[in-house]
Amino acid sequence: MLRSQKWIILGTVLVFMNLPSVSLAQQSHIDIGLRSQKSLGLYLENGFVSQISFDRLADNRLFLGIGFVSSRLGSALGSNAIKQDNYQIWLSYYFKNRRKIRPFVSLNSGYFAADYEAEIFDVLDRSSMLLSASSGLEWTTPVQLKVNMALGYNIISGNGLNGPGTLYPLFAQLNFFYPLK
Amino acid sequence: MLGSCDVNPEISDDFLDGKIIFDPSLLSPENYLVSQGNPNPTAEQASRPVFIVCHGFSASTFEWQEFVDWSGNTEDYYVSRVLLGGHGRTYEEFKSASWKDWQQAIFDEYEALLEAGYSNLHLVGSSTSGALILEAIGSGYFNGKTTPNSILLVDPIVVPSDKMLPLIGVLGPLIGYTEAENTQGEITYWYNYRPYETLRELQSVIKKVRKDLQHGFGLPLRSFMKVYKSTHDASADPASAVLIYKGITTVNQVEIEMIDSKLHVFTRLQFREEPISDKDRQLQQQTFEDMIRIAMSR
Repeated sequence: MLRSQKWIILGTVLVFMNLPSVSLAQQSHIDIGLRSQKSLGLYLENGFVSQISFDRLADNRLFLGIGFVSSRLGSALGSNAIKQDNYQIWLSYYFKNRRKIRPFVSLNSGYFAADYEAEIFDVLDRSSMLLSASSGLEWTTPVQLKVNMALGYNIISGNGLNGPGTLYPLFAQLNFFYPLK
Repeated sequence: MLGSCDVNPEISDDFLDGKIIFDPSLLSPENYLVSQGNPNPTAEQASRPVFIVCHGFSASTFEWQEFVDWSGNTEDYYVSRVLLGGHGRTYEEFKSASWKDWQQAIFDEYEALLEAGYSNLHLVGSSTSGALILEAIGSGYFNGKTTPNSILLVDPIVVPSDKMLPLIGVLGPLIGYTEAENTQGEITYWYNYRPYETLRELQSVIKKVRKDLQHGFGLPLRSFMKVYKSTHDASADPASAVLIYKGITTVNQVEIEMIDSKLHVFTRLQFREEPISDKDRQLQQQTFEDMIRIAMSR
């Protein structure tokens, strides 16, 4: 991982952690949860997510999220699949705020890194910036748990000439969010 | 990948896809298959290395012509050129063949050579043939048979560079076929139109191989595998080599060499669109020499 990219991720996490205190005058909402992500044609990756929204910021429709999903917790668990990690940040906008089922759109970014485990592969691209758009539906269950499904497209993906070969363009996500606050 | 909404393309008589031009091995198999050219070898001949060279998806026996030319009239080894099932024939025959049909032609020659008494066999697969050979190993084809002494794979495909290929089952019926960007020299040796059914078969076999590698499998006991993989490849993603490296579970039987090339199947240089450099020629020659070295040392 490049030094500058590490700083960007660290900075994003710090900003995210400080948002509630920065916005004391506002009522903030924090969700934590689990994400299951499947590249169409390749791996299942699982991990952890969290997102925050504010009553006074777009009427609680705008969420800023961070997450970590990895094939280590999915396809590579007990198999020879390539171990790869996704450090994700996103901005989501939710429509039809007071409905139980809400459509949403997201703009996602972050950092992708695959572990090829042998020096012979050092000549290959193994990491990349993430940039994707996704859209889906979220269902708020009677027990406050939010179940959220989305389809997305990675604008940056591998094509054999550039980029990590296991970064695929199309993906589906299943998220479970539970409100902490 | 170029697509079309027409169900069938208009095929020129100049194309391999048409009803006039066929792979020459169909007309004179004895000039291509060692099992037919020399079906009754002497004991000395039967112990010589036989390279069973197998081409990639939509290609033909021409893909290994340069290895044959480079080998000249050597008596040190034989080269048996296999035409994959469904290939080198009409568009319709290509369209109706499954990946198991493609693979069967490799099995047929392998078994014919064993039947004739040849015992020093070396399987060489480029691109999709690499996947077909890996599938054969993973599914236990060689169990109970005389195993190949070496398995040499040039740009084997396990991960496609075109990441939309997994969607071919959904998009295929809409596009019907795709059109390759062949050069004038390539149009008689490679299919110019690829029915979506064939792409679906390609996706099916590489997905199976990827899953098999993910679970892991070993090589036949006496076999050695070497993979030569271009570092930049618009057809077979270089990550394919990583999956093979991780998925073959037997220790000390696999060697990977990453080749600094942008050509898919870098051992074939003729009729390329890109200008061929001295380095490309050097890589081709080094690889041919390495293949011989491996075969002679086993």
